[in-house]
Amino acid sequence: MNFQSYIKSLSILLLTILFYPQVVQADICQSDFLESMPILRSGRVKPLMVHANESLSYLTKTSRLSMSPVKTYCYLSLKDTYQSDIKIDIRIDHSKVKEFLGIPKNQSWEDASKLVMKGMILQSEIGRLTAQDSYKKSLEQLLSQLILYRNITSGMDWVIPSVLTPNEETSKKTLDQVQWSALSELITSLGPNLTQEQLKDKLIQSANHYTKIVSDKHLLEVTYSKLHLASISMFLVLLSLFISIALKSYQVAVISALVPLVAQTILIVLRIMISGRAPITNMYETVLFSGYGGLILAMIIGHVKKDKILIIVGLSYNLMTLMMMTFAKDMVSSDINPLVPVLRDNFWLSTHVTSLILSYGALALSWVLANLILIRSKINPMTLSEVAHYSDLIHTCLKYGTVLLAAGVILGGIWADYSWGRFWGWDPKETWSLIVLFIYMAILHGKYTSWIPPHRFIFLTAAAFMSVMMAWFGVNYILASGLHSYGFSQGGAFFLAAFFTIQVVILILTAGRGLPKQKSSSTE
Amino acid sequence: MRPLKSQLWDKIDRSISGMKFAVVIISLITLAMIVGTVIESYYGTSFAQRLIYRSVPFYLLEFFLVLSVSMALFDRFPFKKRKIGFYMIHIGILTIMAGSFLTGYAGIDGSLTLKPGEPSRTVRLDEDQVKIYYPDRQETVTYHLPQSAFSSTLGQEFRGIQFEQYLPFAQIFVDWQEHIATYPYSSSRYLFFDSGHSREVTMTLTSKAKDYGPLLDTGPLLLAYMPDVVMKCLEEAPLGGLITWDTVHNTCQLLDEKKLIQKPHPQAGTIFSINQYDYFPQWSIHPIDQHLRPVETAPHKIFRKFHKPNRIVLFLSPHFVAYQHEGKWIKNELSLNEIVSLPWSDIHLRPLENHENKIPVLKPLYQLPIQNSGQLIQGKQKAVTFKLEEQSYWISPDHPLQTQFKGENVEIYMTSKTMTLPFELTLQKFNMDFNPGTRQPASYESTVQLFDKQGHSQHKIYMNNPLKHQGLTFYQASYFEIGNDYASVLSTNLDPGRGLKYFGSLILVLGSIVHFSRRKRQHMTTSEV
Repeated sequence: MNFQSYIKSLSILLLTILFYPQVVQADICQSDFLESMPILRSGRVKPLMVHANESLSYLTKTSRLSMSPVKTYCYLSLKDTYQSDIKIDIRIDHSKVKEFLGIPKNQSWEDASKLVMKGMILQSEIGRLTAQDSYKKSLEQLLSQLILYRNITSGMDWVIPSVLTPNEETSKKTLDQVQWSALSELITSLGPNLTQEQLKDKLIQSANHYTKIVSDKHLLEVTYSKLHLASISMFLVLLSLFISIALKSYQVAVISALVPLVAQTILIVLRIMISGRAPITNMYETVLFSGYGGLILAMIIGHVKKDKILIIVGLSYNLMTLMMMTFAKDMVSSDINPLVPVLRDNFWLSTHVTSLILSYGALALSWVLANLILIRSKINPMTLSEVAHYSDLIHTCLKYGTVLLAAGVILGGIWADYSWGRFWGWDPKETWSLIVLFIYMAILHGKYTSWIPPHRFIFLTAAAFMSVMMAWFGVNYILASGLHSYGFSQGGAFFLAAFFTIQVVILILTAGRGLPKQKSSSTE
Repeated sequence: MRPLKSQLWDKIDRSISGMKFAVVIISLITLAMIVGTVIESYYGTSFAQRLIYRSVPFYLLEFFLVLSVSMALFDRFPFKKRKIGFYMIHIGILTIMAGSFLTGYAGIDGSLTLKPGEPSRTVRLDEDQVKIYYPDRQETVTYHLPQSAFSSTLGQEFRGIQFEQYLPFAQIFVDWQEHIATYPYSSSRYLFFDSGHSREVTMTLTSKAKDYGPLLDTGPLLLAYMPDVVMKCLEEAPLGGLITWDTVHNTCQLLDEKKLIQKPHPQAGTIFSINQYDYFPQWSIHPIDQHLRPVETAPHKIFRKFHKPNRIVLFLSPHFVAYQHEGKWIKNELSLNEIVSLPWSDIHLRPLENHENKIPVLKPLYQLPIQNSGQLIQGKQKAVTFKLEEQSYWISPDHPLQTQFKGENVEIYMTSKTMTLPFELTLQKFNMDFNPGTRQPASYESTVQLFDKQGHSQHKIYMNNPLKHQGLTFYQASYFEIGNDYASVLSTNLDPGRGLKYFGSLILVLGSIVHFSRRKRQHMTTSEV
C-alpha cells in the first residue's frame, strides 16, 4: 500500500465517521426544500436558510461548521427526536470566563452540549456580580447563546406556519391568518413512531400552504442570499480596479466601473424589496450605501474634472466597503431586523441619513485621494502644479461632502424636531456629525489663511476622516457601550483602533517631507 | 493720521472678522463638543449638559462664534453679487443661532406623565427646586437650585432655613451611628432575592432610627424583627400571641392577651397596659405616650407573633429566621453571608450585617454619575441638605420632610420645576403593537381626551404624529407599567425659535450650494484662460 492510497482510505474513514451517523439517522435534514421554509423569528418572516445562518453565526461566533447552516440547524432541532449526535462548539474568549467554567486557557472552543449543563451556575454567577464589566457581559452573552442553543435543540426555536384557510368574507392575505407553532409541538401532536418521511411531508405541506395562501415574499430572500451579491460585487470591483489602473483610457475605466455599480444596484434594490424600507437603517446598509454613493459621486466628479484618478479612488473606497461587509460580519451584521418604532415610516429619517451617508462617501473620496497623494509623494516627489491639481480635486470632493453633511445635520435636526420635539439635544450621534462638519469647516476656512497651504491641506484632509469614522462607527461602538465598561474587546472598537493606528502611522511617515511647500495659494 | 482709538478698533475688527479667528473658534467649539460626548458616554446626558453644553464657557464660545460670523459678514459689505452664497450661508448660521437662543430663552421642554384615567395639566421641566409648603396657611414658596454638575454649596438662608448643599447626583447610603440606649438593641441588614429581583432590608429595634424600624411590609413579605432571645418564646407562643422582652434581664415571656388591661384609644384602637405603660404592638415594640410617640426608656418591649392567612410572615433576629409553613413552625439559624432558601417560590435570604448599639441613618453623599447602556447605574438620586434650628436634615424627591418650625407645620420637598397647562389632558387608552412573534414593541399610541374652554376633543398621539394645541406640541416619548395598565409619558414642547431655525437652515443649505457651484465655475474660467 503506497502512501497516497493510505491517505485516501484514511480520509474516507474519517469522513464516514464524521457524517455516517447523521446521514442515516436524520436524512430529512438533507432535503433542499428546508432552505426556503418560512419561519417567523425576531419579528419577521424569513426563509429558514437565513434564520439558520443568523442563529448559528450568533451561536458559534464563526462560520466554522462542518456542513451548511440549514443542515446543522435541522440536525440540532431534531437532536432529541432522532438522536443525532451533531455537536457544535461555542467560542469562548474571555479568560475569566474560561477560568470560571474550568476550560484550559489555550482552548477557545467548548462543546455546546457540555456548556448547556452549566447554565444554572452561569446564571447564579451573573446574579452575584454587581459591576457591569466585560466579565459579566461575556457571561451574559454566553448565557443567551446557551438559551438559544437549548431552544434550538429542544425544537422550540424552529416555528412552523399552520395557515388557517382564509375567511370567505375577508379574503385578505395577512399574517393574522397564520398560526406559528414550534417544531416540538408539531412532533408531539403527530404522535410517537413518527417517521422522517412523514415529518418531511408535513413540513413541505405547511410551507407550500403558506406560500399559496399568505405570500411567497420570503422566497425572494432565498434568491438574495444565494446570489452572494456582496462577494460578487467585491470580485467585480477588484477586476475593474485592476483594469482602470492597468489601462490608460478614461472611458474604459468608466465602463469597467459601471459593472460593479450595476451589481450593487441589484443588491440594494433586492434589500429594499425584502425589508420594505430605505437601505440605510443599520451599519451594513450604511457601509454599503456609502460605498455605492461614493462610487457614483466619484464618477460624477471624475466626469466634471475628466480625471481617471477619481474613478480609481471611487473604486478603491467601494472595494473597502465591500470588504468590510464580507469579512467583518461580526461588526456589520447583514441581518435584516425590524426597526425600532421611532425609525419607522419617516420621510425625514430617510433623507437625513441618505444625505449623511452620501456625504461620508464624498469625504471618503477626499480621504482616499489625500492618503494616495501623501504616499505617492513620499515615494516619488511631486511638482507644485501636481500638488495644486490634486488639492483642487480633494477640495471638490470636500465641497460635495460638506454641503451634503451640512444638509444631513440640518435634516437630522428637522427629523428630531418632528419625532421628538426638539431640533437639537446634544445627543452623541448628532453632536459627532456636527463635530465632523466643524472640523471640515475649520479646514476650509483655514485654507484661506496662511495656516493651511496646499500640502498641509492634503495632510489635514487625510487626518480629518478619522472624525467621520468616529461619528459613523465610534459613537456606536465606543461611546454608546461606555468607554469604561467594555474596553476594546468588542470587534467594532478593535476595528476603529486599528483604523486610527494605521492612519496615524501613515500621517507620521509622510509628514514633513514629500509634498513641496509653497506660499498660500489663496486668492480670496 | 487716524486717532489711536480707531486704529485699535480696526485691529480688533480685522482679527475678529478674520479667518484665523473663525478657525480658532470653530476648533475650540469642536474640542468642547468632543470632550462633551466622551463625558456623556461615561457620566450620562444630564451631567454632560450641566458640565459642558449648558455651561457659561460654552455659551461664551457660542457668543464668539456669532461675533465672528457677524463681523465676517459686516466686513464683506457692500453687497457683491458673486458673494451671494457667502452671504446666505453666514446669514443662515446667524438665523439658526438666533432661533436657538429664542428656544433656550423662551421655549419649554418638559414631560407630561399621564396615568390612565387621571386628568393632568402639570408639565415637568428638567430643573430641580425645593418647595416649602405651609399646610395651615395653604402657602407654597419655591427655592431655586443651580444647574450644577457637581455638588454645590448653597450657603443661603431662605425663610429661616439654612440651605447647605445641593447634590445633583447622589447616593443615599446607610451610615451606622453610635448610639447608647438604656437597653441592648441590635440592627441588621438582609438581602432578599429571587431569580428576577433583589431587595435589601434594614431593620432595627430602636425607634431613634427615623428611616427604619422593627416592622416592615415589603409587599410580598411581612417582616418582624426581634432580639435572638425573643425567638425562644416565639416558638411556644400561639399564632397571633404576644411576648414581652425584659431588657434588664434579657429574658422573654409569653403574655396572655385576655389577662391584660385593654383600653380603647381614639386613634390607635385597642392598646394594652402593662406596668403603667401603654403598648400598641401593631405600631411599635415600645410603649407609646399620649402623642403616640414611642417611649424608648421603658424596660419592657412587646412583640406579636403575627399571623396573616394569605401573607408570608417572616420573623427575623440577628441569628435566626422563623416562619409558619404548612402548619409547621420552622426556625433556621443564620450566619452572615450564607444563603437560606425559603419555601415560597424561589425566595432566598442572605444576612449581610449585624450591629450592636448602632443606629442606621440614611445620608446622601455626592457621587459622580455613571452611565451604562443609556441608563444611570450610579448617582441616580439627588438631594439637598439644610439646617433647621441647628439640626441637620436632607431631602430628595422621594424623601420629603414634614416637621414643625417656629410653631408651624411645614413640608419641605424637592421636586422638578413644573408648568401648568391652560388645558387638561386625560389618557383614555394606551396601545402597544408588537413585532409579530416577539415582545419587542413596534409602535405606541396614546388616545387622549383634551379639555379646554371650547369643550373637549379626542386625539391620538403616536410616533411621528404629535398633538399640537395652543402653541404646545405633545410627542409620544415613553411609557411605564402601572398595575395592569400603562401610563404614557408625553414630551411637551414649546419652541418659539422653530420658524427661525427652519428658515436659517433653508438659506444655509441653499447658500452653500450656490457658493460652491459658483466657485466651481470661476475655477473653470481661470483654467480656461
